Amino acid sequence: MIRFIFMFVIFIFLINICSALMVGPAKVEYNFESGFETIVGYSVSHINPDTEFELYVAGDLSEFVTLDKDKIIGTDSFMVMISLPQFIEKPGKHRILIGVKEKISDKEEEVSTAMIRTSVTIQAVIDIYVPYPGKYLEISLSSHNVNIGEPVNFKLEILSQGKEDVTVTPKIDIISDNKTIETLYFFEREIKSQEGINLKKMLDTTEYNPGVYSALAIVDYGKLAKSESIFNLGELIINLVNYTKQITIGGINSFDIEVESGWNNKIDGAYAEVFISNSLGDLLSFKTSPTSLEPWEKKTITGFFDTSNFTKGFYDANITFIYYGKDVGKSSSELVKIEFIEGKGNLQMILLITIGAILLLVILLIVIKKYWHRLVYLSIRNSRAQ
Amino acid sequence: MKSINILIVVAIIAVTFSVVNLIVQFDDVMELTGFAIGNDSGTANVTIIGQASIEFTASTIDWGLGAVNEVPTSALLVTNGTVDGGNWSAVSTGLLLRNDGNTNVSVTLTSTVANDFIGGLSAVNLYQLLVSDTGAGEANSCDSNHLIMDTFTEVNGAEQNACTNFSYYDAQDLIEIDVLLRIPEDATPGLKSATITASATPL
Repeated sequence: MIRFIFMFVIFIFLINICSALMVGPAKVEYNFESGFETIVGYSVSHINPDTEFELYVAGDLSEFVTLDKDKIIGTDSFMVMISLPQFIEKPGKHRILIGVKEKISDKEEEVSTAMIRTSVTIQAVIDIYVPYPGKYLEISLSSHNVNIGEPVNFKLEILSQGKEDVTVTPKIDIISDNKTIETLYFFEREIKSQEGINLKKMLDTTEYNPGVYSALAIVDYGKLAKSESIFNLGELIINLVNYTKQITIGGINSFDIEVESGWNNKIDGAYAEVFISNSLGDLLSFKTSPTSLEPWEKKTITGFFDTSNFTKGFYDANITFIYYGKDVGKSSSELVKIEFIEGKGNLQMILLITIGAILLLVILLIVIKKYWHRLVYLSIRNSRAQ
Repeated sequence: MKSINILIVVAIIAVTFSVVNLIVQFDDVMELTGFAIGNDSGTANVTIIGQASIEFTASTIDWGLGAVNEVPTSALLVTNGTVDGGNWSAVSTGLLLRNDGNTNVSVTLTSTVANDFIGGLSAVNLYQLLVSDTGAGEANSCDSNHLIMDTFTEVNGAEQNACTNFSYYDAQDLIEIDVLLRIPEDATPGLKSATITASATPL
């Protein structure tokens, strides 16, 4: 029992305590008003109750912000008092950062033997929006990748940051190859000064082709506010990006194929089968190792084959990809050229053998020349004796 | 013998109590059966507060004890398993940073410059960081448009942008920070250590 407790204590000390820090709220936003005052409460949580955190204020308008404490230990909370001035000259977004910085204690540093240690800091955000004179809109469009036939859900955020209200009829142009192929219209609506609205619009992709599209949101309020978002329409396909174009003859060699998924879901069990041929017909085929591809992922897959029977020159290679998406199997092929070249290794070997042979020959000639008379004399004496 | 008798008595009392309790509870449950009727409806409102949270799930790197070989005149240590020109232990995984909050964040990294950390000839020493969402990281945690430190970048002592949009989505919220050190042969002996501070700011 005592041994067990001892081992448990040892185990506890071996656990690597991670530095996890959480701060909330992550972000708060206010519209500027003359002499605006408020208090924001923050909660901080950390896995280690003994860890000390420094609190600080940085960024724009930090001189108008005070904290109720300058440090906390472990999981705790603190208050931020904001007291803005009567007037801020510069319009637009002003960002205040509320920093919570992990402090590595001297005690911890003394026992740590690691070369590289870590600490974390989180800077919560307070955005203050100071209105522009007249009308002023800021817009932001977001979209997402889908597969053909699935809807794209656009989100259009419009912030009226001017002192005057605006009436707008936003639209989204869908663009492919620099041509607008469809326009989505929103209803006309009034947006008050310093009001923010979020609009949604859905695009039906049934009639679309796979590819990369651009969505451009345009809001006309006397001036044009624009925001672009790129999205992909995917299909179950693996595209060939690159491959080994030159192969050195000699032994087993690798053949790399860089592929890219054109689908918005995971592709499983993907591999390539390569058939190498020339004018005489099929010469050899081999398969790469199987892999899986995350949506739109690029990856290199590798196969190995014996190059000994190839001679210098260009060959055809039919690369066939076999893969599965959502239990549906599919294959696609690409015909490419590959060049087989003679390796430097063989040339060096031939050169070394030639030099060696010449050296041996020279040594042999020297030996023969040195002992030639003696050999002749011995052979004559032997013949006379007989 | 006497103690066994006591145990038997205690056991009988415990079993009796359990049976009585079971009967009482069963009666209560039977009385509660039925279903609710009526057309009242309610609205449940819930507001989820944005939380910024990051965590080093692999928080230290330690190559252990080692020295630079006679030839070459510096050692290269990389967290991809490379130990070249020295006899330190290989480390094959970098630091791992997870965004376990519910908001995307931008991440900066700050650490000590090579002269202060490693020492030795300043033309030779290197202390570089590389951020990736492949390998031990999770794909799409920081896409190529937002990955700033995508090649080994020398630490300059100031805050350096690493990833300007670090996703919080599950299975896409882990980045790897690889470390490269080049230790010159004239670096003074002793325990060398540096702290990498990851700073997260919500977007």
